[in-house]
Amino acid sequence: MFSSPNLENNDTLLCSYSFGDSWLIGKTNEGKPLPFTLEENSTLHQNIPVHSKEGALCEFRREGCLIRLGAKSIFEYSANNIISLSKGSMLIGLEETENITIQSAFSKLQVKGRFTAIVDCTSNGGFKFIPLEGKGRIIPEQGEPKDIFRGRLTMVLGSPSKLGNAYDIDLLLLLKSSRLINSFPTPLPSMKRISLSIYAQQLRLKGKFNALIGDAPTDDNLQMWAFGEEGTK
Amino acid sequence: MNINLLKFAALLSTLPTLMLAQQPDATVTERNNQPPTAITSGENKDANVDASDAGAQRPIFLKTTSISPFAGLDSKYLYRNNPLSAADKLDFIETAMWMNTAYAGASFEAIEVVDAVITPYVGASYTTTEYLESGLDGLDFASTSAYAMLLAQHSSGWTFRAGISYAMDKSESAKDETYSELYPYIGAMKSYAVSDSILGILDISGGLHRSDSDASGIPSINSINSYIGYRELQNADIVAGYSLRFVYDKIVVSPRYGVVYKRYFYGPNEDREDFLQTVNLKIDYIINENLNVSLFGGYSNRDSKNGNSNVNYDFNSADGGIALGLNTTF
Repeated sequence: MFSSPNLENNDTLLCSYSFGDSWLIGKTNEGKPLPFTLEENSTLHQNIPVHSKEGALCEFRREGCLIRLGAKSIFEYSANNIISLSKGSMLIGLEETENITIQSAFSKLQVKGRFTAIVDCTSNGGFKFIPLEGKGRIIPEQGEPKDIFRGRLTMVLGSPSKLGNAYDIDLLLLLKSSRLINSFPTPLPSMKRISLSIYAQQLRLKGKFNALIGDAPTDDNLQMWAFGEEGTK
Repeated sequence: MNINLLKFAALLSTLPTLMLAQQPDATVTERNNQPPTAITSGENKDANVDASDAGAQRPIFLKTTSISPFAGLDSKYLYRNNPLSAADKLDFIETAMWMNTAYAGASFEAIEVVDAVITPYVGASYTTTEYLESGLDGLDFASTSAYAMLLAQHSSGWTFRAGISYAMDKSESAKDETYSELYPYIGAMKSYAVSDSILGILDISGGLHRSDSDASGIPSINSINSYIGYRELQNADIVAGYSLRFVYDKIVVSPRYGVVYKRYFYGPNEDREDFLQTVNLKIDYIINENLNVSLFGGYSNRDSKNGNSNVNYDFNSADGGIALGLNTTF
């Protein structure tokens, strides 16, 4: 399962950071699950799921691509640039234009471009796609594609998947509160471009709602956490 | 212009902080908006209260118009010990001064390119300057200015600008235009976080003052140019400054040191070189986002050499006062 790191190979990812308990779920010769502890500098091959436990974080890299996995997440990397996140959250950063597919328990989204984005799974089996910077297109299985727009959270729902509601969210607050961005020892390669996205968003900012977006328990229901009026612009 | 600079400083102050945001302790994350302990879903079932590692997602609303106008008023009451920039201390005429400025402008929709965000700005201002010392009141004047500027925020943290400004002074007593200029310029600014509450700002710029002024009447002795009086104040300048911003809740303390090098080209000022140094301190108290009151003080020193006249252009000057600023955006 482990081999020497090889960043030139697109079929594998290098684990560049691991904090807490994360497990690789391999298979025995008989096909039974065989868990291994994820270790730094190990190589992750295709179709080997990674399970991160509570409080855990890990980071994978290949040339031009970075993936950070949050706690209590299940992640798998497959052929044809298919990235599966069936639970939890992850950050993905592409330095050159690529065509990838992100899929959750029920939903699937094709993304073409160069970007840094956060993917956050929801209880309805879909996920939130939150680009922090970059350019490109998001292409659902059903319905019209949309341009990537920094700071615009888009719900990805159902199967075949379609794009749900989209919300502009406070990028500065997201960055300050995201473990996927702040809790790693090395900065994101695209950090300067993300800062520029915040600057551009601040130039157009008119006001903020007194609410935080939460989970989507069903396709028709999105939780909003309301809080006090203080802080409203 | 003041409101723009405040906006830039505030925005730029966030960028270096983010650059330093990496925290090696993976268990620690700043969360400004913790989710409330009691949460209900749309179906009145208990929702999943696990905080996502993705971060807090607060909806915002963005401007739908491509123009963002702003306007404001500044009023300053100050004391200046050498308002006429006299070289000899015996010629100093100390005076109180009252300066009132009204300004307005607008920023236009930002253009986002790969590694930069470019924002066009236009603006104009009108300032009256009154000398309160009797005998100097005949020198009261009004200034009008306007500018158009492109401001590019680069991902490196540098902010570049290029623009052209127009300025004109008019004597209040004679009702004559005494000075006007067009000033094409370029500049660059870099800010960085010295600490959590201190911002360092380096600013450099340069341009050409294409002025039109009342001639001094002093002919050039050795000029190779034909003497053109109205051009004698034309000069090229290079300006550099370094300032700090200490932020303590609603109080912002801003010391600044700046240097200006000027070279003149025409008439009695041909080949004249000025080196101007300034030290300033400003203390702002932010009453609310539209109103602030300031205490300020400064010292200036000019060292001038060459030129074709015998006039001594060196001077020292100190001033200090209080200011009230009112600004708004639409």
